[in-house]
Amino acid sequence: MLFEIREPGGVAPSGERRRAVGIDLGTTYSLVATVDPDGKGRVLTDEEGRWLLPSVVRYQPEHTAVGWDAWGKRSEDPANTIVSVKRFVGRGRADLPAAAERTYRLAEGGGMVRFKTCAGIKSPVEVSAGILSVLRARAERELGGDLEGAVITVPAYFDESQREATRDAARLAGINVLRLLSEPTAAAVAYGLDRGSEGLYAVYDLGGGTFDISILRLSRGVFEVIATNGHTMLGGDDFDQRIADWLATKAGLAHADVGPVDAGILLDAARTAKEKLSSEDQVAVRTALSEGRMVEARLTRAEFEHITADLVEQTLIPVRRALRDANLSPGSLDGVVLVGGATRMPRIRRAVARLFGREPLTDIDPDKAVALGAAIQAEMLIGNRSDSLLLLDVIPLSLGLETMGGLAEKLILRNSTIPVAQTQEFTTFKDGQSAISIHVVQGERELVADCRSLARFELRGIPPMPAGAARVRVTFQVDADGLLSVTAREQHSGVEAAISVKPSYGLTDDEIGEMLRSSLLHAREDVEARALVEARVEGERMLIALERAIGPGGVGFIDETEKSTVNRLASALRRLLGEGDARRIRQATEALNRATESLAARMMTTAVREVLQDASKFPSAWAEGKG
Amino acid sequence: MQMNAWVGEDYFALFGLARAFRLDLQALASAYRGLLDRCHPDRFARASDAERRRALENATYVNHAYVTLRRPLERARYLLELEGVDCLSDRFAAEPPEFLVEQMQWREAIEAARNNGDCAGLREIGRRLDEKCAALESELVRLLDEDRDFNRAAKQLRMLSFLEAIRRDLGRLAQTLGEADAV
Repeated sequence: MLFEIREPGGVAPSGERRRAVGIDLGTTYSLVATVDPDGKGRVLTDEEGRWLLPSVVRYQPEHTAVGWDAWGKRSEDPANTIVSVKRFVGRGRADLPAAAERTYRLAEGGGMVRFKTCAGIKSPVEVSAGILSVLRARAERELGGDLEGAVITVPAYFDESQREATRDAARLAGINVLRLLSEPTAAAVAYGLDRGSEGLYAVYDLGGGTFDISILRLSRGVFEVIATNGHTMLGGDDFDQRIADWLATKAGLAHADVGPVDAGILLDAARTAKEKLSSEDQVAVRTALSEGRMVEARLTRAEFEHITADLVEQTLIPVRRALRDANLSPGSLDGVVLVGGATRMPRIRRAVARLFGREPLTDIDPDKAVALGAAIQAEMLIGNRSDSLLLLDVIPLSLGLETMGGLAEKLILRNSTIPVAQTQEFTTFKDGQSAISIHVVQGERELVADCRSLARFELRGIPPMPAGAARVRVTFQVDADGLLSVTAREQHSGVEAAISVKPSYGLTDDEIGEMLRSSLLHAREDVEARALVEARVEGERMLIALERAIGPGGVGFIDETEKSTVNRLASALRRLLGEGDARRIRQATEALNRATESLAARMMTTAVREVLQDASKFPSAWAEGKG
Repeated sequence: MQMNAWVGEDYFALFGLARAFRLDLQALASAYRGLLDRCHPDRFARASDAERRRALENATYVNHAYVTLRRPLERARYLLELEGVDCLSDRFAAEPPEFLVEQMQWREAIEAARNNGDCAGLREIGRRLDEKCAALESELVRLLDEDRDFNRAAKQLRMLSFLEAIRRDLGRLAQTLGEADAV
């Protein structure tokens, strides 16, 4: 396809304003935000004016409740009421803490854990999709029409499996995902644009169930993540659990005595106590367990901080690691931003202030910053926003392959700016070996056994050769969403295999398809009609771009022979567009695409020169890091 | 490096910089930003699949070029590659014995300081290593940009790579100790 150079700062195409939102799919609460035509961000509310949606889904045989209704039943019906599903997304049963088994009836399912509910077996992807559908409906009601797309945020420290699973959930909810965006980066966008900040910033994001730290350089609309780190199983929920355990001990209850219902009641009391302790020095807890037994205790802030001190400390380890990766000292930052409801705890604010030697910024509601930042990016991606804003995110964990002896060979290192690709060559170790097995892993450890297994696939059909003669090039490509695809190609024979990482922990496309069919969330679609529409749109875009390049007023770059080939292919495509065969339209589009490849390359080279002339207009303000 | 053939020019030309080891990092950074600003997939979110695929390839290429030029050792390696010198080839594998001895001495010094829990000693070794690397790097500037003696530059680069590896390990060690202190 012809490489189209867009003018940054160009005006959005005229016509109807497109509807796009940012969605913060949180562990305890989720929310959806948009940017109004006046450029102001706004968090959307439900019909009762509430902007937080509890990330809770309750399954009943005939009915599924999401949000506040489900929230109200979580103590009553814990096994069918899924809370904090984000902790289960992209995870296997073995990854989960023991507490999960006490609350839910869990099942294995193709790597990712499943919930056995009275409405059947549900995967975390389906549960998340339930939450996303409610947010989608809210947005469509508030904005008065179909959504064109959404930016969905994920913890910066989410790995491949968790990102894939999140994207699948959005697809299942009928949402067109414009981009998966890291939560701290989204928050930085909300802050950076609001305050016109420049320089080095840290975003400390402690949510309900996940912790992220990102260090970014902000400069003239460019948000460049330098390093990120975190913990996907640490958040405000853990502080609640500590208080709940403390209450149980005070009431003389052993762990084993607390059933799921009482555990829920204690957690509720704990959460209320925690919230009060952010503004009060002590709180009196008084709650009735299921069999009428009363639990009464007085918790001081000092005692609370004592029993959770190690949790606070656990967040500081990733902070130090991120600073080290960025090659920065804590004092060299220009600001520290606090995001996530759990950062309301005074102890967290003190710890962060002490580590960085400065008071953290909290002027945007820590619950809203992520959704607002995502909404800003959604506006830009959809073409409603005319100023240029560039978000350069990184992958949080290294990606690699298993090599001989169970060692992990890293191809793409953590904190690489995405999109990124890397190629490595491997060979056969036996004479006549006809297949090579490729095991894709993620993590920093040396041994494959200590890394997360993402996918396995085989390259077959290598012609017989002596050991060491085959040359298998394996290419990892991570796209702008942080999602990985892997291809392997034997260079002599051209044998090829590819996989887009549908991890062992994710769902297969068939499973997603099946869910889509069976799901009440999503109307049944005519797949073929859709394919035809997509093929036509693609073909038409191709022709428009071609016209722009070589038609009257086009930029040239083409000789007569090339022009006649291209014109022949173009008219063939034009003819097919009028017919109804999606496959042939695709083939004709692809043929034209191939024929214009070198033309596109020449245009790119010219465009690069133009950019370079422009680049001299950006003086040295875009400072170089020490990395 | 032939990840994408759409730019017939090398990384230096891509960013509009002279092909040399000594490089204006700020000019590199602003050229990088200028290029990515136009070819990043975010600019093509609503474009066709083919355009988006191309944007992905372009941005990947620009990122790769940027990382290569930003890091001195990779920049030197890339420069040599452009000059047709493959510094990974066996021709350069035979190290002068005095250099092997020097590597060993560094490693032994670090090991000794570590065993004694001598943090100040480790810092001192780090400082000396930094000095040594800086000296080798400025020599590399001369070999690459002035003398254009690429074979000697390749040897120099290998030494520097070994020292960098030692420096990295030392950094990791110091931070592990520091982290253990802080926790």
